[in-house]
Amino acid sequence: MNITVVAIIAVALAFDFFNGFHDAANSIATVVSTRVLSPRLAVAWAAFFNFAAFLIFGTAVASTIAKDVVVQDLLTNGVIFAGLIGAIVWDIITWYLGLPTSSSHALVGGMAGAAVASAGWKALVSAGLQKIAVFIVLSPILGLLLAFTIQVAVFWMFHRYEKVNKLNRGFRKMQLVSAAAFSLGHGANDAQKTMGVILALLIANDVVGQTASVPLWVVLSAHTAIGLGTLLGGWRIVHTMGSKITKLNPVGGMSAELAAAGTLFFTAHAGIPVSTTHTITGAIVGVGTTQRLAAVRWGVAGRVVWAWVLTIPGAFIVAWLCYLPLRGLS
Amino acid sequence: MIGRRPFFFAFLAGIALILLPVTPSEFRVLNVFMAGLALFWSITLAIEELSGAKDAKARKAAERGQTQER
Repeated sequence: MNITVVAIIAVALAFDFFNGFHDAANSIATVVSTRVLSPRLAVAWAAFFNFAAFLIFGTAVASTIAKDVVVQDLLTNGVIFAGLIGAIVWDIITWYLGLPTSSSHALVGGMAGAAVASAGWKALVSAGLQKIAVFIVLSPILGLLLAFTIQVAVFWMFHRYEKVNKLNRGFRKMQLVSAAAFSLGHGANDAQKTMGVILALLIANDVVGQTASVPLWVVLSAHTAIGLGTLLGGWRIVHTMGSKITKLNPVGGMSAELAAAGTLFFTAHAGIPVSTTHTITGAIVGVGTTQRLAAVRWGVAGRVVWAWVLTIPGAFIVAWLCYLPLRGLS
Repeated sequence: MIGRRPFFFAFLAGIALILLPVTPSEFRVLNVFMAGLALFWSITLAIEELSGAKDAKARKAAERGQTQER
């Protein structure tokens, strides 16, 4: 491995760290807003399960990022580096603005932008991008539908139960489990995206073969980076996710997290890189919808949707611009 | 009178079905599942709201009847 490869791996891990910093706030937003855990404990809880995800899930998402976004022969060090810088810059901008955008889509947009700057539109794998694009829309809707269903099922099961305080205590405990499940899903999905980038880099530099799976040191370092990012994560997005979209109680928080975790487990297993942010937002809206549509602050949800729409083109343009002075690295 | 929620879920079912042709074939079953679930909630909520409106009308009529008797 030469120094360029090592430097780009460091940038990829920095992206993973920022991903934890930026996105992992989602996994604790509901636990913090329902006061089941203090912010510090919630962060440690999420970070632990982010890290533990590597023990449970495979690396199908990493494979998709490495092989299904940009044509492998056209992936160069410069493209990967510019793609990462584009995604990191976009993440920092949206973090500063407090917008819960998707680091995953920033990464896909960044890689695509840098690849197009390098080799034109033929550098993109249309089938892979189509799969990712479809699930940009499907994953939040699936989260919404599952959250609505779980919430209604819980209401049906317990509406005659009279010991409300005891019930609430039970749901608060259950929320610890659901938050852990969501953090596992987040770790599985988002850490794998960085693994995918590093795998692509290793393949491009002939460090591993074209059909190689993700080396263990890559898996461990990606999970460590996202876990550390979560530990030091920002609070702006927690506020947006936890209280601005709809008011959550422990039952609602649990339903939202279980629904989002179910969606993320499915996509991690199927190798589809989806946004954990989109998924949990959809689930929170689903919980709000069980009361009435007016319980959801659609203005905030709409702002989130605009941020989603802008993420891929935004990261695409930043990475495209970054690539131009980096042609020499290729 | 049906409120907005049944239409919202019908809209979600529509999106899942519209995306069916562009979804990779191995995941199309998910679109169908989502559309089915959304339609189920759309119909259930519509029935609930219609029967709720009927109940409310009946209650109002009963209340009016009692007032006239007095």
